[in-house]
Amino acid sequence: MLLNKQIRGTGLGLRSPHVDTLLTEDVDIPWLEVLADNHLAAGGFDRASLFALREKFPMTLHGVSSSIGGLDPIDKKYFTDIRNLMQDLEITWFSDHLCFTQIQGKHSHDLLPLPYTEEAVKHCAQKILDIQDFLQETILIENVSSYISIRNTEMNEAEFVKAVAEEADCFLLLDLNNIYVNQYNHGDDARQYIDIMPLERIKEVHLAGFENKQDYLLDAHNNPVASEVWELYSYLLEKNQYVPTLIEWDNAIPSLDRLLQEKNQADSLREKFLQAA
Amino acid sequence: MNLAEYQEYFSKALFNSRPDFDWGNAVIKPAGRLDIQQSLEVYRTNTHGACINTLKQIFPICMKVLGVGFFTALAKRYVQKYPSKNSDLNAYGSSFSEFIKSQNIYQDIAQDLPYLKELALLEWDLHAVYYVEDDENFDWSSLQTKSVEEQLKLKPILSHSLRLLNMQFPVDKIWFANNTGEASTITENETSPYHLVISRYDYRAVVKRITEQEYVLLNMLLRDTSNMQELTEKSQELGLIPSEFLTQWMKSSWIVGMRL
Repeated sequence: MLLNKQIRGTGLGLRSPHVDTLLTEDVDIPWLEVLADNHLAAGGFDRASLFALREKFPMTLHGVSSSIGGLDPIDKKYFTDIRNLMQDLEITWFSDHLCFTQIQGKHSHDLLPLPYTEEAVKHCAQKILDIQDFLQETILIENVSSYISIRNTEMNEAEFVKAVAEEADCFLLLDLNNIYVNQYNHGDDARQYIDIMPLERIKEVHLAGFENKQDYLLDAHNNPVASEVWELYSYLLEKNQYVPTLIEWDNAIPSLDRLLQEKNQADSLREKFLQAA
Repeated sequence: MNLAEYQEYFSKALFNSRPDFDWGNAVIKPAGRLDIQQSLEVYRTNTHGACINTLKQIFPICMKVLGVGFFTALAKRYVQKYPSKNSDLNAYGSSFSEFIKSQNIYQDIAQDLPYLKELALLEWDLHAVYYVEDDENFDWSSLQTKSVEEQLKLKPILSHSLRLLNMQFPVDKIWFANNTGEASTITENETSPYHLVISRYDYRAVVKRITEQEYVLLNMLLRDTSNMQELTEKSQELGLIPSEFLTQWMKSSWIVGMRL
């Protein structure tokens, strides 16, 4: 299993404005997360630069099109491309979201929330098992932010995420920004959410910024990590969860220096808790 | 409501040209201070926005000549008619040029921008060649050991990126003028059709004007039927000197190797 490979510390999401700097300068980043769906082209500059960057940085692969909750069969072309990229780049692990993104062949290119039901748990777990069987790797699944919730569900979101991970025996990528956004949007209790998580399955944490739309929070990844999300990170660190952490910033992308400030803040927090432990 | 029904309903909110949000009343609790329609609109906006933004990135000069507002309205119609069927957004928009022409409003547009469909075709090819498979390195010195007879049996290998366009309008110059802000250099003695090669050179998508004779020869090679002897004979028939255009095509990485 790929999870025997190790990455540590705080990584950054690879974004095209930073590629030249990362290739040519000595930047203190322990690993990069690559958005899989942006790098499935057969050739060209993006692919060439990805392979050049791999010479300098360990990499994880993050997808948005697995459609784990979708009822369409798994897209074998997509996962063949993912598998090839994982092998060619010696990727540490592949992660995707616990949601659906495809309906009868149509792609939403957005992370659509699932109902928290036993039926959905069983469906998602089987889909994850099929994906893991295809990739021959254990994958990580990530909790998503949402702008609706379903009435009359059989469990809350945290219980749903836990149930799927346990049924599929996969790992978790815990997005603390998404937990906070959902707390704001739906009135969930973010700390209780973390309490419910099976900590031993969490292999990575995402930190990102949201956009306050006044009526709701949008998971826009266009701002610094909010103080409330840093507090949740501290809460997780209190539980001795020093797992690899990623700063996600996808829109209104700032300079690499600004991203490194966020990274350093995460490193400092983790160091503080490690010393106290 | 089971998972299949739920996703079917969600599909109607996202992909129907007239979205159906009514089903949500019995099923959904909205987020924050939004109502149910507003909550589902967040997803519809994100879904359509991803595709519209992709079209804006692929067709920047079409957007420039049409104006952002008009282009966006056209893109919205396209997105409603053609939902994305591929996880890779770079594959989205291949039929946009045909769609533009199929619109009733095209007759009005065509009076001012008769070249619009061809400009969209050019922009699509410039986008597509950027992502195609890299060409393998070829050892040209390996040909030195071949006899003249053997060399005439060789078939040129074209770059994976090479595409040909036969245009009624000088869209390469229109594209260049709008892209760089420099004045177009269309001269009076230029006559249609205009023959263009789109290819990738040093990881950049490039467009180059070629003669009708070169177009005929490259088209022969694209159909994968001609060896060097046939190419030589045809080029002489067309009044071209093989050593000249072949050297140029190799320098431009249009021909990237030879095979038997």
